[in-house]
Amino acid sequence: MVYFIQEDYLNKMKIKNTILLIMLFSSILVTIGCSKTVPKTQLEFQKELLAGTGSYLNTERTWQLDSAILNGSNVLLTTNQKSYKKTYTFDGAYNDTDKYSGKWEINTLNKLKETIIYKTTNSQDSTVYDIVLINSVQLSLSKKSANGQIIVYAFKITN
Amino acid sequence: MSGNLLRTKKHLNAILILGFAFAATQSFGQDTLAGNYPLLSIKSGNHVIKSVVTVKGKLDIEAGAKIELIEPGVIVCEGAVNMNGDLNNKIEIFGKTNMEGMGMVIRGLDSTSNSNIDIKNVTFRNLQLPLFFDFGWKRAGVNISDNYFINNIGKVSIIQVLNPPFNFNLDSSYIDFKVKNNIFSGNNAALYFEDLKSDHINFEISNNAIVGNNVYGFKNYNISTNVLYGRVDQLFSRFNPKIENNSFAFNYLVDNITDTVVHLANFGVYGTDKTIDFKNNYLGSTNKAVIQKSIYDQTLNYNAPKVEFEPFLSTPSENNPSHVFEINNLDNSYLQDTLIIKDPLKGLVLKSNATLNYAKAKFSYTYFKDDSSLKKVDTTLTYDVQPDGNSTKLTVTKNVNAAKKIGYYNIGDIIDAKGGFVPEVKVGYIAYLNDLRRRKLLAELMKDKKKEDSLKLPPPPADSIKNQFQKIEAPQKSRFEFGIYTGLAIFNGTISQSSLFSNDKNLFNGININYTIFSNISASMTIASFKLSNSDANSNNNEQQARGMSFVTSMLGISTSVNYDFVDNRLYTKARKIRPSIGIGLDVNSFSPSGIYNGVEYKLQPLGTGGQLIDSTKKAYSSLALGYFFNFKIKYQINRLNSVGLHMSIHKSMSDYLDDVGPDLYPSADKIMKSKVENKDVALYFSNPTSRNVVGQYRNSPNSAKDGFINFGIFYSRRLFK
Repeated sequence: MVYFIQEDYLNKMKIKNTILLIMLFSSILVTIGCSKTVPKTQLEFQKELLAGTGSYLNTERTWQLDSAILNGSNVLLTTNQKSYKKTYTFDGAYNDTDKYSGKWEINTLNKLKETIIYKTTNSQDSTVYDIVLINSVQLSLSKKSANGQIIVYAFKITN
Repeated sequence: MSGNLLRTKKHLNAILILGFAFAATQSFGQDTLAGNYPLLSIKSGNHVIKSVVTVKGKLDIEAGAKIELIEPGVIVCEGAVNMNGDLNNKIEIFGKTNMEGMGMVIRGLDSTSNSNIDIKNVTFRNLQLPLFFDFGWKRAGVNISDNYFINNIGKVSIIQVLNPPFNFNLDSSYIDFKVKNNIFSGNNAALYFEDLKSDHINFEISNNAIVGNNVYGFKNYNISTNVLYGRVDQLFSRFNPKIENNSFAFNYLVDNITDTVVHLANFGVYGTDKTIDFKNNYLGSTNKAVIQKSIYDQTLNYNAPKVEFEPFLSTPSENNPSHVFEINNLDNSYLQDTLIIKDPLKGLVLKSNATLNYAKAKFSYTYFKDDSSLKKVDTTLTYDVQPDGNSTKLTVTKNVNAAKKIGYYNIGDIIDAKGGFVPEVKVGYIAYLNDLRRRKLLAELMKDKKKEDSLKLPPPPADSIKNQFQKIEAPQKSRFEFGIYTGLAIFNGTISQSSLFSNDKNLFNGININYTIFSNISASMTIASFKLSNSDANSNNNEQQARGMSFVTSMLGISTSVNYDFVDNRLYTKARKIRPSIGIGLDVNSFSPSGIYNGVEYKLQPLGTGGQLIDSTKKAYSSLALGYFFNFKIKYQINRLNSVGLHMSIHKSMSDYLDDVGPDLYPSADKIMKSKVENKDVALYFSNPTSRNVVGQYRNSPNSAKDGFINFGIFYSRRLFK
């Protein structure tokens, strides 16, 4: 009789303990299970705007020349010039419609470095642009030419 | 000189204080008696006996002494006993309620040849065995007269007289044993005399009122289950007992197990003699057949003596202690003692052997409240008294018990002309006891049934809709239960994936009020605060990944639901501590989706990411959304007030914009650029985060899912009121 009472008591305790354990685990899960959003840095975000995130169908972005401003004045572009496109791939590759290819880097915010790699000579030529504007549909790059003139190229997305 | 005077004054003061203290002790205090006494004189006042008090010599008790016997308190008298109370200042020997002491034991041979037992004007009440003449006792004489033996609880005897140790052949002395003018009423046992006919005790039992006693025994009526019984043997020839002018009325055998009346029980006799005289007593009736039923003798057992009870008295003598001996209806017809009283009586006629005083009498009526429970109602009736000599008409002036349930009348606190005690009168008590027994059985059955039910797991399904809608008698406030909810919230809509737990999980907190409407139906209201978020990047669908949208929104919602509780809300049993429930309800949620652009969080609704602000036919969506939901709960009842559990609710929203992505075409970038939207870059980005060429596509493609969310987690709830 005592044994049965004891067994019954132990069973009840077991159930109680199980329920308390479930509650405890549930509360731990609730605490640690919540999603945490880590915001991208401005640098990362700029890179993604320029070249995509690397997710499906978002591995590269192609920008077409739309206008150009030299020392504050619009430059009249030819049809051929207007069809000029730059393609930046999320993994850092670069090519354009002039058949140049190479790599791109943004190591500093608003500084885009393009490196053309000449396959035949295996030599490299780098240009650093200031990013004047970039959003999901527009890109403006400016560069100081050798003669001190500032030229701004405006591109639009063509994906 | 003056110093001496001062000292004398001080001494006088101290003496005065001591004197007062002594007087107070004498007036209000009580004296505890214990141990052995060569002689004992108990004065008037209060005394307590909690153990065996043995008096070797004479026991003297003064009138006005009140002796409380607390179990196992008993007075053992080995010598003479002199207890002489006064008519209006009786000696009282009584038991403490629920710890009733024994009584008095007369034992041993007293060395003083002329010692007597004289007990007069003493009240013995609430004792186990008031007077016990133990085997081998011997005194010169015994006189027990003018005493009250009332409401003694012992089931052995009221007075038990065993034989003294006389030498059969040589000893010619004898004891005169008189029991006269006593009232025996409301006791649970009998008067037992080992040998009523004896060569050494001359019994005289006369002029007593033996009224309204219940002798406890078993169902079978036998010798010892009478209020007076003993042996009558041919072996003795010297003294025939003189038992006459007694009044026997309303004495019954009551079954020990069921507490119901079995039989009339006045006199029982056994032994080898042929007959015993039992003449000139009032025996509760004028009908010989009825009288015969109250006597156990040769009629029932051939080996027992015949009781010669004729002639019997048709009414008790006026010299007997005052008592009611017959109860009649108002028309003076005889009122049967087995009468079932459902309809209130208009009145009664009580016949007594002397004029009674009803001035302070309490006429009460006790009846059951309903058909089967043990609940009863005690009422005091108002009535008119119309005395007519020894017959008194009591007319009830205000009736009760309109429900017509079984009950009985009790008339107590009647006194006689000298202010003496008169046994109380009960009407309909036999039927009441029978019904009480039936109800007790029912209650036990119900108790067993409930116990049996509570052991069955899982709980049986409710057998009908009617049962689930049974009304609850509990007070309004005890139906409320308050809960604290916590857990996770998962968005399920346009920006989500089919595998639920791959989506973002956010903290959910809420408070809940639950109200029990019916036995299995309850309503609840929850106020919840939580976040929803998700990103196409989490999706395993390429199209969604290519879309690249994400959002986060704070939600504040109020929801109301009706729940079906699988376990009856009125029950609280340890076997049904786990209580599941399901429910449906409506909710309203405020939401405001946002996204991060270049490290800054922006509210998406004002941006019109679906082109709402560039098209005059459209307008920004509302940030309030109606919805409906299903919920499931499993509650574990810790105790009657507190419970914990798991909850889950599946919500569907009427709005498609919880995640800011509705069934809109991708807006033209040019139009956004030309619109009045403040943060055009941001609007452009969120309208098409991956800048895909999506002309003619809907933003909520490919899944076009309706928005919703799921909350689940744990809760603690408590009833604040019992």
